[in-house]
Amino acid sequence: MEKMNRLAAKKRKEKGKIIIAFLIVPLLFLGYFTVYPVVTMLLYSFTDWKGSATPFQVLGFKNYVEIFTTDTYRNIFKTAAYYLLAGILQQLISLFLAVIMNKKLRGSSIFKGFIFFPFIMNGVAVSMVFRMFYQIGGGFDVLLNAVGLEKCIRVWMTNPHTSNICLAFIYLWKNIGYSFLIYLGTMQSVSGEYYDAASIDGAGTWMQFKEITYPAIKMIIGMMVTLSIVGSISVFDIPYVLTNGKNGTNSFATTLVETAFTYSRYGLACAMAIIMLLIAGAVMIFKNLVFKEENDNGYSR
Amino acid sequence: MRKKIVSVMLATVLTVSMVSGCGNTNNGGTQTGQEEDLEESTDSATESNEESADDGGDAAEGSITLTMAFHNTEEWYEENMIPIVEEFKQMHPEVKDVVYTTLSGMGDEQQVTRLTGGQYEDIVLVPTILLASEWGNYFAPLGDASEMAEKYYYGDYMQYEGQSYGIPIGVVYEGLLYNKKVLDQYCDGNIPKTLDELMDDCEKLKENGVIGFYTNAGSIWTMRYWDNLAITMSGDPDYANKIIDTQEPWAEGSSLRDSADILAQLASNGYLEPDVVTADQWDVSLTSLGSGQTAFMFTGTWALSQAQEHAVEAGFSADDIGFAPFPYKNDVSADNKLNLRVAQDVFLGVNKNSENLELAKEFCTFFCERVSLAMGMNEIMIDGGKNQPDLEFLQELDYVQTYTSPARDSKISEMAGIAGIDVYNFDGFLLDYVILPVLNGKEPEYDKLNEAWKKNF
Repeated sequence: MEKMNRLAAKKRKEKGKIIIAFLIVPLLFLGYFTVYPVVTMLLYSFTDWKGSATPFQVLGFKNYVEIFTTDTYRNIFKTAAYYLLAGILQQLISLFLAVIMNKKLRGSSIFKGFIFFPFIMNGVAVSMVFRMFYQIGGGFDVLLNAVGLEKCIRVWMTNPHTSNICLAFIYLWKNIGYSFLIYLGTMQSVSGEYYDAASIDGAGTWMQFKEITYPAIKMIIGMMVTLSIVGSISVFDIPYVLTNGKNGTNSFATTLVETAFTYSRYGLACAMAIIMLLIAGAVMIFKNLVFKEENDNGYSR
Repeated sequence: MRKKIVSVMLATVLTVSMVSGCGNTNNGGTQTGQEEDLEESTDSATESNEESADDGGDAAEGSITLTMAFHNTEEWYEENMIPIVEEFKQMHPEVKDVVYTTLSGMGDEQQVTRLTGGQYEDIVLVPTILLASEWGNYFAPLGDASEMAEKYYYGDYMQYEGQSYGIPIGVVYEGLLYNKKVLDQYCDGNIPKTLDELMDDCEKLKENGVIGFYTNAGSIWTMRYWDNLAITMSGDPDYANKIIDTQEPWAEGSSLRDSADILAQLASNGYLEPDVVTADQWDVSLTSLGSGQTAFMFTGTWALSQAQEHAVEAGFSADDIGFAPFPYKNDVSADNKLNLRVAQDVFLGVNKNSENLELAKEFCTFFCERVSLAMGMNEIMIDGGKNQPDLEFLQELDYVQTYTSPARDSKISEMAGIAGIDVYNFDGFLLDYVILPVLNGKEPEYDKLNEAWKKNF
């Protein structure tokens, strides 16, 4: 009996060794490429480090104060609002499209393809296409001319009222396919029997959505909203390619890159990155509070 | 039991092989293929360098390969630079070849990343955004700054603590590119000599639906000539460095403000291109100038040949594009001359870790002395440097005098960082603080600029 126990203990010990042997490498990678940079970034955010070996001073929270007191940096939040609005609109539209596509319609796979297609394209390529689209005499102007709306034509990027809206539209257009696909995938995992049963009981489309579809995709909606909030702060390629962040279109990410690489103020840029991280974290926590997982509900995941 | 030992050993072997597979890619060069995009040239260079080191001092004939990188395309290099390399090889038989890598399309940020990564060529472009205090970490000093200054235009421009870290690949004039055809058609062929004439021309052009002035502000780097215009207007070549001690550089009556006011005046009169924000319109602007939809552009003469190419493409002749000094004042005569700035372009530096440091330095100087004309620039030698053929007429104009400005204090870029204003660099701030407010019916925001600059004091 004792021998058996000893053998079992030895077995466990060996098993532990194997687990450690296999885990050590990925953990080292994780530590070196993720944890270490984040920690050093946090430390640098309290300094005036200039991105090189030159000595730096510790500033405390001065960098953080500067971000919230300088116009250029505060404008970031205004820009983010445009993208956030686009992100929410994106959720509504894609949810609507997903509900329609979830019904067995003729040719729905073609439509699915059309809706998803923009998302496959590279963000920079899309931005360059839209740069031409919004140019004077570009695609958008031609389109407006064709439908007789010549009066609405503006110099889209130079006009301070239209520049951010135009840019946020690109974000909406590109990302609709992604959330659409996620919603549709979740909806299709709901068994058709529920809908059949509901329609026998006389539930209409709205009732079916409210009572069957919505509970099933509630968690996913929470996740997608979180992603779109985080995405709205970190949008980079669109303003960078179209306007270089000028004319009040600078986003968190473009300003961060400018601060670090044009002005060599890596300390300040690190502070901005930390704020971005904090916002993302806060949103995550908020999402977990609002969209609590309900295990007693049959559809939750 | 044996099975377990085998499995543990296997796991160890796997782990070790993973680690060794990931590290030390530099030694083996091509062993893992992970660094495939780090140009093959670097690899071959390190290899041949190792060989030459093995030889022990005296390099055998044709054993050294130098590497070089700047922003022109590889095709351009093949077409224009091979004779220079051949000439150098005749002087130094130990040089086998100079391998060229293009940095075309690579931004300054990426170039800095490349330098910090440690994998860069023997002779390489010095990124403009690299702080002066950093040069010594990546580049070898090329000589005493004051000696270099006597020999070359801007020989001391890249100086730090008395040493020069870069040689210009050519010098250019900064002024107006214009389309002669358009001026002939609408402005009686009047090439503006004074500021009023420039505005008159623009007014006539505007009435005829031609864009007077293409600023290209959305591209940002194209704006850098406007702050240099302030130096020109001040008449003091060292004007730029005065900004270090100035609390309000954009105060009333300052040259920085006066030069920006010319831009503001052009904008408020509606002479600029309609879309000043969309980025990366350089080629569009050249096409516009070449095809006669635009009359003027303010840039360096290095763009002259490009603009002429675009004119030819648009069906006009290369002669239709000309160059004139920027007419920033109204009383211009032989006694009251227009200043014309001889400007630096980009600089080449030498990798301080180069295996063949002395040879690389020599080639760098040799190359920079010869490359200019092919780049569409004037030669850098103060004695006997040749001008581009199209620009020889400037030396005969009696109302024009050229000048060069001394090296910029490295403090400017640091202060610019703190203020968040890229003054004397790319001048992108002019779009946000001058052009856009004016286009939206407001005044240029000089107060905000002064306020931002005051953060430095």
